[in-house]
Amino acid sequence: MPRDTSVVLTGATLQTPFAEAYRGLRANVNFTAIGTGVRAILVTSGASGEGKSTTVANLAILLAHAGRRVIVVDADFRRPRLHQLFTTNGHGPHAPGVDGFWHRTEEDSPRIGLAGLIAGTATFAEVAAAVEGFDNMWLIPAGAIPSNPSELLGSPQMHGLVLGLCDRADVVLLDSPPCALYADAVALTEATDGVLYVLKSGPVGVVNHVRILRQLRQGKARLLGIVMNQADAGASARYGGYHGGAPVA
Amino acid sequence: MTPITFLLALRRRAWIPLLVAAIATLAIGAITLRTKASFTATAIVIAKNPQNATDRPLSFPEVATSNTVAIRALSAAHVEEPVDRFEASLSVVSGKSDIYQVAIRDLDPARATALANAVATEATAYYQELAGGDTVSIQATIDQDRADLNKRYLDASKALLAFDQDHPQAAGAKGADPALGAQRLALQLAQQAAANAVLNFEAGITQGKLGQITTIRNFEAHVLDRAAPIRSGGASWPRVAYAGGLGLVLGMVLVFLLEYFRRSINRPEDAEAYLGAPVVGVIPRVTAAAIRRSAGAP
Repeated sequence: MPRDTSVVLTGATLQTPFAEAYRGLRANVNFTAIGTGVRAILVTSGASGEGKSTTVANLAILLAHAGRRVIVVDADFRRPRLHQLFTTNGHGPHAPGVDGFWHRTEEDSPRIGLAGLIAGTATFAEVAAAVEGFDNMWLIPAGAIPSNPSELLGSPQMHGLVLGLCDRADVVLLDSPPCALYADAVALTEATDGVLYVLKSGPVGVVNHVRILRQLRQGKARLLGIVMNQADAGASARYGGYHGGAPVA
Repeated sequence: MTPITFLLALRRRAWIPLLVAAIATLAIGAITLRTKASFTATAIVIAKNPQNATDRPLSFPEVATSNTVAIRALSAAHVEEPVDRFEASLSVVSGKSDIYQVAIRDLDPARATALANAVATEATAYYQELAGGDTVSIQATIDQDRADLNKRYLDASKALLAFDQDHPQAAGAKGADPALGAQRLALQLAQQAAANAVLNFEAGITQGKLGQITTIRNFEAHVLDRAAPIRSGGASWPRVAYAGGLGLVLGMVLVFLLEYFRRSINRPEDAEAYLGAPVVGVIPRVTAAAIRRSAGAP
């Protein structure tokens, strides 16, 4: 079994230093985004496997814990994963967080989701499912994969949909495919207010990331900042190291 | 890479340009200190050569670098040195005009100056000598010829007068001894010949000599400017300073290349510097098992 560092916070791990690192992210997002009127936040990355979906899930959990109404949208039509990370009242038998993570499969993907919502063939009530354990967090899964994801995500309907979601929640978090492979995220910058760019620590193509960030900056959304994922202990120590204390929000 | 990210990287890696600058300064400083100073003395010479001369009978650089000139110059400057080594330190540079630079490079400024001046003087003299002699020596020859002819005339006249005093009856008297008369006529003829020689010399030979002088003047050569030593090489602190500055620039280029081709971001500061965006979260690398252990789960 391959070793996987992707982990989602649960009630049992909310007091760990790992959760504290996400609290730092939440604090910065509160300060730089939500506090300045940014409601719809796109989370993307350059390549796959950087940790977008995990970041979306954990940030959403901590925002919900802090009392924010959060809608999580799985806009990754290429490789939807959020429905695997969350257990919802309407979509499947998954246990939340780490304990149930290894038992989830691709076949669990819901049939209806964001695509139907954009196309107008489904309603919010039909698609959005409350995340188990929360009464202020909902998940909109990707649903059936459309043939034209980029066009769909960049459409005025998507823009209107995000505006509508912002009316229902304090924060709308959107997961997206990697920018280096697909144009979906760049298209989504027209419908969102801010962008969080997830970057996995280690060997990277700096020039490629610079190019991608330049593309993202050309959209309507404001680049809120970089989430440095899988940083080594030395780098993360200055931001509240793994072995430090972890007060719960 | 933007200028700001480059400046940030430069601040972070300031030790690289400083190290390169220090190495360059030390290296050039050491080389400079170990190198002895040399001096170059350059004399300026004009050596005419008719442009309409098709066969170019003389070339001043070839004359100036000849062994003859080298030997003469060494002798004139009272310097004992092998000719081949001396010629290696000699250079004759010409431009489009008839002006030549005769330069000597030597560790001793006085010797360089003396040799450069000696070469210039001896080369111009030898150049004119090869062209057919100089005007001074030709004038001397003319003067000598004139004196010889005058002496010849005076001698002939004295001989005739002395004969007439000894034999007064031989001069036009009837019944004089025919032998004496013939002898007097011979002396008269010699005097007349000497007089004609003087006249011919003045009228003809002098004209020819002047023509020769004109020819020689076409190859006239003079030293225009005496040599003076100019220092080159040796300890030069400006050069060391330049090396330090160049090292600094090279170090900065090195930093730029390192940053441009950098393939790894391990610190939030790197991410902010390279990507130009703030880091709003740093998530540590951790496994699910480690989180469970941290949470106290079994």
